[in-house]
Amino acid sequence: MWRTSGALLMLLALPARAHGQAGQPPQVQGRRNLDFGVMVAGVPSVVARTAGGAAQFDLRGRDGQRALVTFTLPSEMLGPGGAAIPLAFGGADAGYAEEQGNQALQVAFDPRVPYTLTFRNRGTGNAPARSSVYLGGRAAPPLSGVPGTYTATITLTLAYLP
Amino acid sequence: MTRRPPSRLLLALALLPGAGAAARAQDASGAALATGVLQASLAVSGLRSLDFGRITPTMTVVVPPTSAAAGQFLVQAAAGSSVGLVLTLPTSLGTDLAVGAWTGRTNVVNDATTGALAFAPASGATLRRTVGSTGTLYVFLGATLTATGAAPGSYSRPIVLNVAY
Repeated sequence: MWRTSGALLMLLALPARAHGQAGQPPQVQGRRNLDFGVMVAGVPSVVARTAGGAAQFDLRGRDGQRALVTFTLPSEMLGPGGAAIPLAFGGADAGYAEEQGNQALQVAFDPRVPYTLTFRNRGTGNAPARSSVYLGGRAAPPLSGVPGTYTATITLTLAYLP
Repeated sequence: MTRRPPSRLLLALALLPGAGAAARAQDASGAALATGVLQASLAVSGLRSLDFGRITPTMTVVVPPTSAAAGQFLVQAAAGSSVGLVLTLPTSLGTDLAVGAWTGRTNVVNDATTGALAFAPASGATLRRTVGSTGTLYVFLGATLTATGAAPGSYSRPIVLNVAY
């Protein structure tokens, strides 16, 4: 009776150790803005995810860990007196590069839907994996646009998947 | 029979962390901006034609950019902005009517003399100038017409000015 109870206690204790979250937590840093530069009223402006004006987010995660990338994308930039310039993002406007900062080495994905990635530390031992996400987009200044500086906030959320 | 083993089983269950808490994913977020600067739209107007006036079939006429007969354009753009000017210039007005030796001046006010900057117009070449504080830039053009036995009549050819930021 005692031995049976003791064995049962051990089996119940094992799952607690297997669910531990020790190790590299996910990290995200906005490294560079999505810069449309100088725009002219009535003339659309496009920034490719491969261009120097594309936004860059640097990620850090546990090697081998699957994670979900989710963007919160603005629908417009705001400028003087609340004037707005509409923004749009297409199905290939985001890119994931397994090597952090290597903009040429990116795989396209749709920033409007969550994207699943697997962190790879690219053979650097036990170091955390570092990668980057790039984002391009389109701005459509109206013909009657008010001259001035326009901005909007882009947020990237990174979540480990079980 | 003793009841102690079931009590220990219950205690062990109470010590286990909830399955939902142990399996909750970690997350993080970061932000960047979308930015841009909107400039006023560009406008170009032809204010005056380059007029060589009445000439004889064999004659040379020089119209300087400071003349009342000089060609004139008005550029309207964002105040203080830098713009690129590209001219497309005719080489003749017709048979035996060659046009060349182009001369030009620019100014932020409608004055081809005081404060004006001289330049040598050339088709396809980009000339950069700064728009004035009132959002205006004037371009004045002169040239030399050489008639070598041209037939009587009225002659004209377009002069095109393209402007870009």
